[in-house]
This record gives sequence, C-alpha cells and structure tokens, in this order.
Amino acid sequence: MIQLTEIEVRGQSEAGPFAGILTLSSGLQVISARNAYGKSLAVTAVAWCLGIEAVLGNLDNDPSCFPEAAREELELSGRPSARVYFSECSIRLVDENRRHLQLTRAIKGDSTTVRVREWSDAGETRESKLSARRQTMQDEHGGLQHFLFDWLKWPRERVATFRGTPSEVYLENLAPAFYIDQNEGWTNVQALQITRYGQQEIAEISVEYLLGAIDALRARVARQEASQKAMALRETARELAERVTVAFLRRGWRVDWSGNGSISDIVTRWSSRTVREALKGDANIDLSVEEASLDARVERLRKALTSEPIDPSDASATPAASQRVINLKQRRHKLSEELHTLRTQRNLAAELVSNLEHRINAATDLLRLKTTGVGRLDHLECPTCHRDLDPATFALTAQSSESISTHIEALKRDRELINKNLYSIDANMEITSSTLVEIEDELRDAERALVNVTSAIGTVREQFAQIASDLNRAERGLERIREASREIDELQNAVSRWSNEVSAMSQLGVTTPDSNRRRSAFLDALRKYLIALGHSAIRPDNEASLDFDEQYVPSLNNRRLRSLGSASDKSRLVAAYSLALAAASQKIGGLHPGLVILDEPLQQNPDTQHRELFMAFLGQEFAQEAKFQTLIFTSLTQDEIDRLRKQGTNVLIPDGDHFLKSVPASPLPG
Amino acid sequence: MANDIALETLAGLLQSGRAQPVVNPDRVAPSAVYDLHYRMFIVASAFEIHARPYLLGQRRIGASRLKLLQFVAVRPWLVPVIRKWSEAQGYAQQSVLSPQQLRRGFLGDEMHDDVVAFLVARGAFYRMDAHLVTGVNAELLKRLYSTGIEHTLFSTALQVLRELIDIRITNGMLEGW
Repeated sequence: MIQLTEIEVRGQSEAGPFAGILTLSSGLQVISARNAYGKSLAVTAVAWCLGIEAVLGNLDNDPSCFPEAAREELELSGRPSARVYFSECSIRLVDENRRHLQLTRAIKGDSTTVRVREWSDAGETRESKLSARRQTMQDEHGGLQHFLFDWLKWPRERVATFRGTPSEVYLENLAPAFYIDQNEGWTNVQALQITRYGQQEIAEISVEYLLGAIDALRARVARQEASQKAMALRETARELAERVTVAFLRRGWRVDWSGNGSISDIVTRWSSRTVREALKGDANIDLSVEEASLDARVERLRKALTSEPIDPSDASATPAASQRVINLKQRRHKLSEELHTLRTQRNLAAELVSNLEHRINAATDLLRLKTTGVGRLDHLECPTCHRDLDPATFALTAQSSESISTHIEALKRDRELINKNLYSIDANMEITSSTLVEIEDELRDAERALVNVTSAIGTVREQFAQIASDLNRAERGLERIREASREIDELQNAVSRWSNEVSAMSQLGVTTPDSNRRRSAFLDALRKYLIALGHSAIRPDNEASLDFDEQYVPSLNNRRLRSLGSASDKSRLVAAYSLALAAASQKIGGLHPGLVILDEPLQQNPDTQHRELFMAFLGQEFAQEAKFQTLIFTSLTQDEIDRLRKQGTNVLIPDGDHFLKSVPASPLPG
Repeated sequence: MANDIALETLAGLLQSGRAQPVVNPDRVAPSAVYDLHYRMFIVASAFEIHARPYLLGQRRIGASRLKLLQFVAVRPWLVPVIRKWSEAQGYAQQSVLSPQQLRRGFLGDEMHDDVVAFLVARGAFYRMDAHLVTGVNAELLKRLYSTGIEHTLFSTALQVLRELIDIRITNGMLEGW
C-alpha cells in the first residue's frame, strides 16, 4: 500500500518562476477548487510522473495532455501572459514501511527521463535518472517501470498477445483501475485500458493482478498460450500432411494422409498407423519387401554377369531389348494422352468452379435483395390504367427467399463436389506426370541398352550387354527405393515430433487456482459500494444477484449492469468498481497500490440527484473509514464543503485563484 | 409455387405407372436466373450502362443488343467467348473457327423477352422499331441500377457489363452469325 503525499508543478517563465503544490494525507479527501483552477493539471502530473501517459491516449513522452499553462504560455495572477521557458512536475509517495519516493519529470524540457529520489525516515537517500518510456520495463538498470515494480514489490507477469509475441503487465494496464481521468475515465469500467499493445484479456488480467490472484492470472495466460500453440500445431499438421502427400504423389503413390480437422482428430488418425503403414495400406507398397526384392534381383544379375554360364544358343537378348523399348514408348504415349485428358478435365472443372462461384454470388445477392427489400418493387402498376401488373401475365415469377436459399445450398454442395473432383484431378495429374518422368528415364536406359545389345557381336556378348543393362536398372531402382525409404523415415520423425509436441501441450495443465476468495471479496465490496453510491439498479433485496462474468464485468440476473439503471448510474458504477477493487485488495492482501484517484466525478452528470447521492456517499462512515487513499478532485459549493466537514470528511481547499502561482526566485532542484 | 405444382404433376404421372417417385426438394430449387427481380436488375443495369442518348433527354438501345448484353452479364464465363467472336468478325475464315457456344443461344432467351414486355407495360421502355427507348417511368431503371451500385449487388454482372463496352458487337453477331 502506498500513499501519494505531494503533487508539485513548477517552472520558469518570462514573468519569473512559478509553482503549485498540493499536499495530501491518507484516507478519503476531497480536493475542492473552482473550475479552471488547475485540478486536472495536478491529476495529469500524477500520470506523467508515473510514465503512464499512454492511458491518456498520448504518444510516449508527449506532454500535450497538459494544459498550455504548463507548456507554452502562463497567466500568473495580475500579470500579462508570459512564455514558459521550462516546467516540470513531481510526485511524492510513501509506503507502509515509511520508504519515500519522489518522481520528477520535465513537462517542457527533456521529458524522456524521470529523476528518482528515494529516502527513508532513517535518512538514507539515493538518486537516479530513469528512462520514462523507452524499454521502461525491460531495461533492468534504467527503466522507470522496472524500478517501480521493484519498489512496489510487484511481480512481473508475462501475458500473451494477439501477435503471438510475449508481453507483460505494465503499469499503464493497471492504472485504469485506480486512475479515473475526467475526460474518458468515466465512460466505462477500465475505460483507459490500453488495447494497442495487443495483450489478450488484459482488462481481466489487470483485475486479477490487483486482487493478487496471480495463480488465476497465470492459468489464464497458460490457457491463452495453449490456444495459440494449438493453432500453430494445426498449421504445422497441415504443412506436414502436404509434405507427405507430395512426397508420395511424386513417386506415383496415392496415400490418404490428411492434416484436416481438430488436433485430437489428427492425433487419433496419425497415431492409428505409421506413414509406412499408410503407404502399404493405401498404395499397396511395402518398401521393405520392395527393397528386399530389388536387392535379390541385383544379386542375381551380378551373379549372372560374373559367374553363371551363358547359353551361346540363346539369341533372345536383342528382341527382348527391342520389345522393351517398344513397350515403354507405348506406355509413354498412353500416359501423355492421359495427362492431356486430365489437363482438359482440370480446366473444365476449374471453369465450372468459377461459374458456380459466380452463380452463388449472384444468388446470395438476390437473397439479400429478397430478405432486406433493397430496391425491391413489390407494387407494379400500368402507367396508363394504373392497375396492378401481375408478372404471371407475362409468364414471369418472383422466387421466394426460401427457394433462393435452397438453390444457394445446392450450388454450394455442387461447388464442394467439383472442388473435391478438382483435388482428385490434381492428384492424378501429379501421379501421371511423375510416372511419365520415370518412364522417360526408363526409356532412355532401354534405348541405350538396345544400342549396346545390337552393337555387340555374338549372342554371348549380346546377353552380357543385356544383363549389364538390367543390373544397372535394378541398382538404380534400389537406390530410388532406399531414398524413398529415407524420406519416409524423415517424415515419420516429423510426425512423431509433432505428436510429442501435442502430448506436451496437453500436459501443460491449467492449474486450478483458488481465486474464488479474492473474487468473492471484490464482489462483496462492489455490492456495498454500489448501494452506498446509490446505483439505482442495485438494492439490498437484489444485491445477491449481482455477479461477475468471466471478464469481471458486473451483471445483474445475467444482464450487464452497465446497461441497467439510469444514465448517471454509469459514473457511479465506475466509481464503485474502482473503490471496491481497492477495498477488496486491501482486505485480502492483494497488489493494489492502495490509491484511487477520481477526477471530477460530479461533472459527469450535472443533475442534482447525482450530486446529492455523491455528497451522501462522501459523508458516510463507510467511505471515510476506507483503509486506502481516495483522492477526489472536484468543485463543491461552500454549503457542500461545510456539510462534508461537519460529517467528518476531509475537504482540502487549495489557496489562490490558480494552482500555479508566482514564487520567489530560487534555484530549481535537480 | 408453380414449381411445386409441376413437381406434383410429375409425381402423379410417375405414380400412375409403377414408378415410386422420391423427391429431394434441395435438388430441385429453380436457378436464380429465372427470378423476375434478378432479371429486372440485369436489364436495367445493361440499359443504364450501354444505352445512348436519343431525342430530348431520352435514351435508347437496340433490343437485340440488350438481349445479348444481359445474356452475357448473367453468364460471365461467356466474356472470353464473345471477345473472340467479336475479334473474328472481320475475318471470314476466323469467323468460322471462332467459338460457337454463344451464337444464337441468346436468341432463344425467352425469359428476357417476357421481362422486356413487362417493363414496356410498366412504362420503363417503349418500343420504336428495333429499339427500346426510355418510357414515362424510365426512372425505375435508374433506381434499380443505382440501388445495385449503392448496395454492391450483382457486382460480377455489373463488371461484365462494363467490360462489354470495349467489345465491338456487330449486327452480324446480333443476328447470330
């Protein structure tokens, strides 16, 4: 728990030095000053010194969130406008161990760094200069947020992002729960939450962090990461399946190795058989048998070439070599024809799919026209006799929406069918092409063998030439089978690695955090604050129905509380949510800093009832006795101030017409 | 629905023999091409894109030209066919070899004739010799076309109609030669 003890803005202008100081105490206090006094300047200074200007929609180190008086031109009481040469602001914090911290950052000047001064009641002082925004969390030595998280003894928590890169919880993610800015802060619960960092479920994570429900937060992040991992695994599975299919098709084998469906479907499918088994089952190819058979053939041919007797009367070598060439040429011709037919079929099928796409689009537009009535002419009359024209007279009919929908469904089914057909044609083309390449290769061998056999003199030499050519072919075949075998083993390894990753992911195990206690404490506190602030939808008789959804959004009887009650209840909900979070965290030992800043809660709804409800809340013991610091910046009438003071509420009225005043010249600190 | 009546008649006929008809209504939904609203949109768009100025703020288009244009607009896959056909017009030999799928096919599009007759009765057009000229209720055509543009309806058909501006359509083609 920390406490903000001082806010100061100071600088040097054409008209001399100026400064404004606000000294704050613990518990609830209302800082009341007239409009345009400079209250918002003081509130902005808090965000600026903490380096969380991002919550105000500003770019890093951009001081445009401050009014001109602090940046450009200042009008000190009784003097003409004066140019601001330099300005800076600082805040002082103290924790429950009496450790003090002062953060100072230039408004006009070098705003990229923050001067930090730490001291304790014992008198030890340390000063440093830290980077306000750049690498603010990652820089262990020079980052302001890194230092603040350390100082506050806050754990650094990793969160998932939509981009897939890891991120963590930043101070600007937590601040929207306790820093309610007057312009946007009141529009919704955590209205200032940063979305542009792409952190997933960051609003929920911020609540869990502040409640100290770190287990719940980590479980949430683990779930998000598991979901991202699952997406990546599905993508890998599809790529892997494509690789397997292409590897088989290239060799003319058709095997069903699909990577579609859910991860569990793929795991079931892929673990039911290995890649080799799939090849054996679908293409009837057993690589080990093939390899053994070719090996035996090579051995036989080698033996025939080297040691076995040759029959000199056998003159079949030349006709056999010639016949082989003829057979291969015929096969090549047949395959070329098949490929040509497949190409034609493919073009026709592709054209058909494109036609179907067009027809589906046209029918979908027509359905839109029928269902939305865009440009529809229901009433058509003759311009001469003004009688209704019946389209049926002209043998025309307008179809019903149902009929068009049915037609679209039928077209979609046709498209799916043709797409499957297209896929099948593609696979056939791949197989035919690769077979054709193989045949071309074999034909070249066979032609070379024929030349050798016919060049040989005598039957014995002819047979030698024939056997040598057969041996060469068998050895190359064997090499091809072994290469296929190696590739299949590699693919099988990739499949196994993928399956192992899936098993590892399912063992990630989302812990079952005991966050219910913290959640219930928050809910109890919210009920009390909503009633105390006078939210019109929550009464003692229905407060038990108030609950949180998964995103910590309050709902009553399954309806979002934000959409219930009157318009002015929205700002009461925001106030109650912020205060309840601080109260619950304080009660259960959470990580909330114990500081809530509400800037101009009364300006949000300028109706008297809202004002009266808020005044009543501030006068209650419940509000006054909160253990955390609540700073409310507003403008009260003298009667209201008197009333609150009478009820024991601490009302602070800063002196002077403006927050920034002329001060005697003195050297600026730091 | 006329379609249902036709189905019942067909079922009755089949039952009168020994056949046992099984009707799967999912498969017999009529094509959207035969819907009046769709065809009115297409005719209006073809007219708005291709009609030329005529007397005193009127506009007109050849009836056969409109018939061919809307026929292709509904079937975008015919655009390359009509382009080749058009290019071959100047060369007698090429003309014989050019695609035959489209020739005269559009002449048999009776539904278009019915739609035009309906629009003439509605006052959107009136006939003048071989032309269709904007009638007293010609704003209907403009309204249908602008609605299509505004709500991005039938964008493929509209794109085809715009592509057809650059394709020369001769009288020979309109007669199916």
